[in-house]
Amino acid sequence: MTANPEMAGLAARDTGKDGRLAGAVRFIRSRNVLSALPVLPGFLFLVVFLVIPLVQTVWSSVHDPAGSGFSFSAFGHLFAVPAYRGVLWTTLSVALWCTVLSAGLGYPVAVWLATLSEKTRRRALFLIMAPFWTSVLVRNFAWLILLGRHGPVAALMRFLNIPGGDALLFNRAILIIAMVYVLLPMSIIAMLPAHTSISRELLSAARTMGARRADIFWRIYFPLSLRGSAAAALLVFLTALGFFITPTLLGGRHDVLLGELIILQIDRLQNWHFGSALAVVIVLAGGIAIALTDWFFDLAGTRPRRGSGGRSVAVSGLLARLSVSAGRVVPGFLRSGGWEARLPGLCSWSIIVFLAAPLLAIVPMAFTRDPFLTFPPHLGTFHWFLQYLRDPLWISATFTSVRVGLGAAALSVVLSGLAAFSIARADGRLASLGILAFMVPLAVPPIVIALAQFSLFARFSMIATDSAIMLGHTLLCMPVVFTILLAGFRSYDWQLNQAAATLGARGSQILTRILLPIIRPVLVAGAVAAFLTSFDELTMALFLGGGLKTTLPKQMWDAVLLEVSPLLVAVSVVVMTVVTLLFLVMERALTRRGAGGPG
Amino acid sequence: MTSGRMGRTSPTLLTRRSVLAGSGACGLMAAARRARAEGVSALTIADVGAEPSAAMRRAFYEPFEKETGIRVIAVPHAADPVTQFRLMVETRSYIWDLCMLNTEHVARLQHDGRYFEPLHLTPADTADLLPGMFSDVWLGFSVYAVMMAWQTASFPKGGPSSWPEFWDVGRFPGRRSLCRSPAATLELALLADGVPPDRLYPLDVDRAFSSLARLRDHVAIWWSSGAQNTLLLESDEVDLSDTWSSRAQAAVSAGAPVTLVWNGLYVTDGWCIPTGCPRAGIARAFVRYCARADRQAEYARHIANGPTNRRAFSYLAPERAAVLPTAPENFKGLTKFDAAWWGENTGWVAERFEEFMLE
Repeated sequence: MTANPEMAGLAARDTGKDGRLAGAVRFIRSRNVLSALPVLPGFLFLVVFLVIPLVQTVWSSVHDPAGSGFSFSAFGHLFAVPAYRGVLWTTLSVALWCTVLSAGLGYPVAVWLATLSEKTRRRALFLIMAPFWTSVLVRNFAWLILLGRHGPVAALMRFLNIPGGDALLFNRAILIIAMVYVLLPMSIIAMLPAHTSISRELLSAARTMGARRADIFWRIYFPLSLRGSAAAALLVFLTALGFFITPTLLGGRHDVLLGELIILQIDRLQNWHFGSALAVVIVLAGGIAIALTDWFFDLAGTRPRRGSGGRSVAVSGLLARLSVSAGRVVPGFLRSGGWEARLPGLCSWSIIVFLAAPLLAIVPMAFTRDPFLTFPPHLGTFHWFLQYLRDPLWISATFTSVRVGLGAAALSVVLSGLAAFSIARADGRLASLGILAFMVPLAVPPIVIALAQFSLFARFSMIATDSAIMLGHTLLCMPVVFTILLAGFRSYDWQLNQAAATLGARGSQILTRILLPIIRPVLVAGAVAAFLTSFDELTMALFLGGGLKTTLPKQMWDAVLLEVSPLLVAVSVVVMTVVTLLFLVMERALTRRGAGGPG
Repeated sequence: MTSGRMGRTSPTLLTRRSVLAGSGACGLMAAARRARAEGVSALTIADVGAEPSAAMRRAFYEPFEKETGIRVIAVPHAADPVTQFRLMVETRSYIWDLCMLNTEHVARLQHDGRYFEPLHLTPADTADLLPGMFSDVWLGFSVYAVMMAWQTASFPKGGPSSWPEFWDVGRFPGRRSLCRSPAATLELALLADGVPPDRLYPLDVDRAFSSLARLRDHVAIWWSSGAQNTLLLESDEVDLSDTWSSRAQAAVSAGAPVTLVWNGLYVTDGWCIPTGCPRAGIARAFVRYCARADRQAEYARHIANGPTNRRAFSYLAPERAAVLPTAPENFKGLTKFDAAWWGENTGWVAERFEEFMLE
């Protein structure tokens, strides 16, 4: 599978532009042109709703509205003012810390998850994803209560005679912890496929042949898992660059991130010129991170391998030597028994507790009899739920969210589905580039996408419409859905189609009787994942919404301007329940497929 | 003594007012008839949402629906509605007929161009309003204060009663919190530095920042949203802080042991109609309706914001009046927040504030 595209890539590189053109022509001729057509709608969507708005943002960042034409004054200002340089530096260092912690803590968990059975793994994943189930606002206000000077953590620290319990909040450390709380699950989920796809037989073969355990890990397992784990770390870094709610609520005076500055410039000062420049800086920082990671780890897998070693292989060889000389830094899963075997499991379980425990504190606050949030709450009322159900504003926001979510799910499944359908059967450079193209929305923080799309939608008077939020969400959903569907189509046995055709089935019959029934669970999973992505999304709604009907997360944001009452927690618990149920539906769909489907 | 004076003057006033009220009611019914004839059956109003919206529904929206037969649909606008409002007018997509804006929003929008429909208020409409509570495009109906709050238990012998005392960390030790925004915070810093309230504007920005610099390292928490501020006071996370009057009052009513000090600034929320709005006629009638004393009194019963109509207090119990910013006893400690100054200066001051925070 790898030999061909590499050769093609080398050939294309050697012959230069003309050769590449000829290669493309050959590609189109050799396959049916029609087979590439399904990629087009999704590709056009990406161009219209991502590339053009981003170009527009770059344009307004170098185009001074007051002065005449072209000017880099906004960038000059950004680097001339020490405070802004400080923000840039803080953003990079916080994002880097989050990346190191999320990848470092996530890696052993992924190693451990990969050793579990499919069923146990899904259950563990469900707990790991706990932070995603709560609204971002409720989560951050929960931190304020749990870590406050009269909160349970401070009480525990007083009990244990540990000083500092009254100053847990509003500093860099707590900001990073709160960010890692959300980024860690993302990191684990993103790197897991790289770990589960490593063949267990390979490891036991190495053991049979007498490899030392440290060597098995550092020379076989680690290099094989490295590319996927690096991609996960990159994803964490890119996401961390765009954070703005958590630092606003939990950071100290100095902990201002670029995302907050963008909100200040756009929402408060209406300074699009400078706001756009800040967005461009975020994209540039992300681009540099992507380029560096790709240079080091060859993310797309498109680069021809020279000899037997790349940079990453050299690093892992060095690590193997170091660990052997340092003694016994050997992950327990490779040992046959003993207490060390339980170590990764123990580590993972403590991380799972860290991720799931705040939920146990948050949910009861929805049933409190107190008029405001307290911990521990005085339980015993459904008042807040009733208030939610009786308020037409909240109900209308809920329905808007459902509508927007369904629209985004349908559109992204169609666009990504068509593309995945044709890319799954192709290989070579163009297929890799196609996959990359559909991953691009992940590389740009939502806050930048939202800002860029704002001017696009404003031109068509679409601000404050459900359609604008729905289209914005579709863009965010596409990479998620594409990944799920691509895996689905790749595991589909295309010979079934040929067999059916030989037996006299028409194209439409093959589609409705064979392909769709087999692939349906994957489509359901993709649609649910898209719905979940949209249902809890705040940033897009914040920029593009604000009309007659807002979405649920936006309504929560507006409510928080004035007060945070247990009503908000009740709404969050309702959302959590809906999300959990949908997640179970998705899991069932995928498990059924795993049991009955091919591969 | 006050009641005596009122008793002496009210008979004549009442007759004049009842005539005015009668003509006002006629005006309202006529406007409603005209609107219905044009096929208008509902007004869409953007307000701040949450608790104030619920209070406005009971005091303004529902009674207005009953009297005119025109339905009122309330939608919450963004935390800072200026961008939305601007876009709505520029794209001529009138999703709102009326919008709740404070004086600062109005000043920022007026600084940028023509965004408002004139209200055509008559002297009779505004006769009882406090000074400065209306303009030709805006009518204020709800006043809140930026004031001081401290934990009663943290200061058994009494806490600070003025901003110089709030700044005095030696005499009043404790965990402090201030708003992370230059607007109003700079004014408090100048008050703390001894600037008399009537000489606040135009702000001496340098002096404000050097006053703020003295306190900066003693401020443990720079709050950024109203909810966060309320939570900090309710959960006893800070000992003393600046705060917004109605939320703080709600926390006190709910049992938070917090003392409020009527010393600081006041800001007024009011109604604006977007220019070119096709339903401007009935929207104007709604604005005049919200100037009425009985409606404003009803509003102040549900949320602790001050009415702008002086006569509203004659409908309110003294205990309720005591917690409202525009009650004479409280109002005298408050200075008007000069939104026009901020409309001119927000950009560079906000930037300097950010720099100051990061130093």
